[in-house]
Amino acid sequence: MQVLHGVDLTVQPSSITALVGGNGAGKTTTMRMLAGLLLPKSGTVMYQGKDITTWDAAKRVATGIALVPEGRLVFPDLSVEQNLRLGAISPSARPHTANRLEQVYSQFPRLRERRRQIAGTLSGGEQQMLALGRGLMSRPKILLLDEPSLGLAPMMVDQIFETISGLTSNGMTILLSEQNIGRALKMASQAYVIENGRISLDGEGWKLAAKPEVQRAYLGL
Amino acid sequence: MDILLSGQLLIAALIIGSIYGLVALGLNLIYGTMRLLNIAYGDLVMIGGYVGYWLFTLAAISPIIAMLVAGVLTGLLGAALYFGLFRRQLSGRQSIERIEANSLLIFFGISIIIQNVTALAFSATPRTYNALDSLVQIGEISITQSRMAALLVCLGLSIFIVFFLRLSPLGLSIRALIQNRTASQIVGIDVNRVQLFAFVTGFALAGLAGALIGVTEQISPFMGFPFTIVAFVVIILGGLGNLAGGLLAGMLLGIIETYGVALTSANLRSILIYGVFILVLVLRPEGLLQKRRMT
Repeated sequence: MQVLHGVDLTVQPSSITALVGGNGAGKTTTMRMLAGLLLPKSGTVMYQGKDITTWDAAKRVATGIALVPEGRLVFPDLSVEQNLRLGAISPSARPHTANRLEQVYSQFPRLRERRRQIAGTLSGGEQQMLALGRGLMSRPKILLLDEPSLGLAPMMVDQIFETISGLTSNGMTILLSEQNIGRALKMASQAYVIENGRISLDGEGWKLAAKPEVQRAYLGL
Repeated sequence: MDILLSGQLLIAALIIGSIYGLVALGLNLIYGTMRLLNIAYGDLVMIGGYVGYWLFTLAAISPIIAMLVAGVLTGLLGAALYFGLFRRQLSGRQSIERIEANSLLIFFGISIIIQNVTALAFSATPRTYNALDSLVQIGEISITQSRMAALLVCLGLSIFIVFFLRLSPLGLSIRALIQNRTASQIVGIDVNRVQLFAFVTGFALAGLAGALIGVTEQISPFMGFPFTIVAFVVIILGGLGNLAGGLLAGMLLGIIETYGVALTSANLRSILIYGVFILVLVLRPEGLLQKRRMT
């Protein structure tokens, strides 16, 4: 089944780009295509000037693209630390595992406390931190965050968004897909609105947030 | 009653249990990582049996060496089948959704081909040979060298594999793939390489175990099927995809079978095994040892 019909988007380095839209608009399909889990029928995916359309997921991770998937997809029967180690399983990242583990633990002290706990027994918010930490373990240049706030308690949502802002101030490139559109547009320097598998609007985040059609359709104003 | 308390019976149970455990481990590796239902599995055991038979009969090569040769040969057969048939099935988005049913049919065909080619080549006549048949005495218990070798090799290899899975990066990748295929791709596991490894290792384990089993049992082209059944009973007992659980379940089934037969009669062996199988499917379909997953 064809979900996407014309998605043309560019992500600038060291900034947040938002991909916003309702349920079923094609956000997750786009993210999975960028991570190499799905192949597009037509069109190309370019990364740092190279055509990576036919690269598989493993190769994309090795060159610095990391997906933090919708629904988190942690390995439920493995410990927190094993999950994080798997984040650095790519040959390019594996030698840096210990180093990276220390950085992730200092960023998420909660994960350090729970490092021997089985991931399936963590709360939703903790699992989201784990998924984010696992994504960071591969030393990505670009992080694809697919609906990181989905299903989380409001306090947890605040914390996740704070972490995301923290990452960009350290120079990380982020593509953020969100249903929490107001939040996402506020943070993003560039944003795309996706509807029925097509990009319907794009522009600077704050400008999009001010558009009447966006406000009416998505922000309930 | 005395016989039930004898060490002789206990060691017999342990030998059968360790063989079942190892055979099931190979099947479980393949099912767990790829959801392939390999019902030709017992036929690989049979191939191992013939390798051991011919190497000993023609060249007087010890079953201990023959088991390595058998492992390499069935491993190579596994690699050929993986590249020839299953890699495509596993990488297509539509074929992967039907992989369990498709693989069942494909392996059913492979099973029949292997059995008939073997029958054509070596005739259907059952064969036996005597190797490693001097007795080892441990206290009151005496067992043949061949059975002792089967116990030590199967137990040792199973324990080695479990530790390998727990401690090495490749082992961690295998466990990750068993739990979630998409998440494994996301973290950058080279899924194709891990699958090939699991496939070849699973095949090799069956051939290797077969060379050891062939020393103590009759070898015939159709000896494999009972091992396929036993291996499936064991991995369902232990929880599909739960490798350590399968080893314990193999031991458990070995004990049930040995003591059950000792209490009743050898004619009831199949009834015991199928009885356990059906009971588990009815009472605990997720397996005896599988923890109930939190949702």
